[in-house]
Amino acid sequence: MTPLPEWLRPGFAPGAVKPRGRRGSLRPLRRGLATLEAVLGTLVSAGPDDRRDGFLRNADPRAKLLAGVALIVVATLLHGVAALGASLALALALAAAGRVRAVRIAAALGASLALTTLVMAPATLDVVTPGTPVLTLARPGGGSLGPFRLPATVAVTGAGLAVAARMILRTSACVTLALVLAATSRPQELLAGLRALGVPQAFVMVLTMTERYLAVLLRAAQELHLARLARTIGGIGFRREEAWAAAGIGAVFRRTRTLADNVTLAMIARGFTGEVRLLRPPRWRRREWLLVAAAALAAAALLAADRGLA
Amino acid sequence: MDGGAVVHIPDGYLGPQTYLPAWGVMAPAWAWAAARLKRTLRRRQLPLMALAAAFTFVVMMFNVPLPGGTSGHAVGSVLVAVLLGPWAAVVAVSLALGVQALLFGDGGITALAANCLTMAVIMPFAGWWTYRLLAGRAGSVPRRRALAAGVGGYVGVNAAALATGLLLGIQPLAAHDALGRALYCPFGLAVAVPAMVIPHLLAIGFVEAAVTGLGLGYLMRTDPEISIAATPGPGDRPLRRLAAAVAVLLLLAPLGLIAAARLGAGTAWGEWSAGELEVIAGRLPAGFDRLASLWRAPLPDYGLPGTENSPTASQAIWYGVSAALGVAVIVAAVLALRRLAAGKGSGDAAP
Repeated sequence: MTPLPEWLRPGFAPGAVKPRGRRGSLRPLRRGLATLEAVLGTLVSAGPDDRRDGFLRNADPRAKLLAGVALIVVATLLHGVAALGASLALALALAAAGRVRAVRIAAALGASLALTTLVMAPATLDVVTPGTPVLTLARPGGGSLGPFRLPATVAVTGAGLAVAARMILRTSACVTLALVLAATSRPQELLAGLRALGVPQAFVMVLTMTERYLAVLLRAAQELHLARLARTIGGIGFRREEAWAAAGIGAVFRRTRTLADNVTLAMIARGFTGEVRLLRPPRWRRREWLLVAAAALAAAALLAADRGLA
Repeated sequence: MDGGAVVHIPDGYLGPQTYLPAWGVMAPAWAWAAARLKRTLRRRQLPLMALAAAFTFVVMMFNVPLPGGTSGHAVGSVLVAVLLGPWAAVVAVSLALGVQALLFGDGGITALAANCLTMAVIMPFAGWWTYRLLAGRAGSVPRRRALAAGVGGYVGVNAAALATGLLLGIQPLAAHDALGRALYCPFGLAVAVPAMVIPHLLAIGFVEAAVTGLGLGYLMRTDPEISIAATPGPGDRPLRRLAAAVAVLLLLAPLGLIAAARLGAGTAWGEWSAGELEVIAGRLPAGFDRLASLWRAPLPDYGLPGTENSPTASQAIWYGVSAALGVAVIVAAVLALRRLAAGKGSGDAAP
């Protein structure tokens, strides 16, 4: 017979028992749960974040996708800091026109800025990007440390700052444009709009189904995490935690297979023969042409200005 | 530290010189994968693929602890490849990455194909082939197959990390301005590759290995009837294809030597002899000579002693012979390990 755990025995007092051996913490479990909750929250609140009306919100997602992807591609082609700044300004103007909440823009831009600044910080130094020193940070003196030769000085260079500024502006513009797309359209509409970019209908349908069932599987994973957290006092060793994570993934896979079989049967019962049809009828009007033409014009102007300035 | 798996490259880090060829590679790969799945999965493919993509997404949400109070998350590509097949993994992981890029802003839209190339093609195939090679004729021995899947996960995620490092590291070479300043990711191969590979070799690879190996082990233990795509059948000869690929690579190996000689390129970076290092660095580090003479290789510089100055054609032949010998030694070591693992795992077959 399996012996009762210590915490179920009579006379158990929390905190009175010394942990046996190495005990892990619940941090990975809590972190996993927090990530799941954040993703579920994003999924539920994805798309237009309020009922405000606007030009971008009412436009056909295909037109928005064409315009947005064109502007993102152009942002990756720009080299000059001025043109990249203009591209970011245009992206922010579109976010304002789309009535995207400031807090949502700040969150997305803040995360992107933090990551890119962290990655680009070493690129501002003369050891990565040689150039005219702007600020000397250290003077190692040019000696050697074992087999490594130390530089005479470590300084921030003008060229390094230009490289970092270029990357930060470009990634910020791309992130803002992607956010405008996501924040002014419903996920299903956005995915269905991929047809306009030449994505095969079957892929679009599978993507739409993925988005729909993602919440179901995320909820299953969340329940697994909650159940584990509710059953655990203190912490468990990392080996057991690792085994639990793998078992959880296995359990989610089993649910995936069952759900896939059930959905297939349900689809066949409703007359699915393998031919893919999307529900959304096309709504391509003058407004959509206007949006795509304006984006093309802006993209061409940015490229021309960049090449001219360069 | 919360270690992520292979980095999702955002927009702006890769130039069009890199992301356009990546789209060029991925478009036929997706078409081929879709055609393969159409033959094997038929009508079931749409819901199963959609749910497999959602499953891949959810796998990335599980935090797996690492020694030292850190944690990380896996990609799950190799697990999907082992369970559903590598082509299904190509489609499922690509769809998951597409949803992440479009709806969650995780990974770029222009960089989507590059991300799919590393995480949806290189990773599942590297892991799947490793699994097939190691699982061999394991049949229903769960422990050995779980071990093989774990090694597959480790190899797969490291292959993907290396590919990501290479994609990022070639940016300064692929696109720079008139002054030589990088237009995209400014870190060269010497920085980008170690920055990507070392954390995966030391930590994140083990997360992927644990998730893949323990996940497969759990499924086989709790549901013996579960269908697993990468189950080697009696007629399967995974080694034969690998041997053919290795033979082709062996024949091509001396090409680099010949090209370097034709182009007048020097010794590969960091592979200098003591004399070359003294010329480049201006001095020889203390102890270098002593350490360099500790071991005399039987085939120094991939040739017989004293043939360093022989014609390039002769050196190329010795280069090929050295490569064949090296491969033979590695194959012998792997076969010995495999035999050892088979001996240990056979106990699982007993009830």
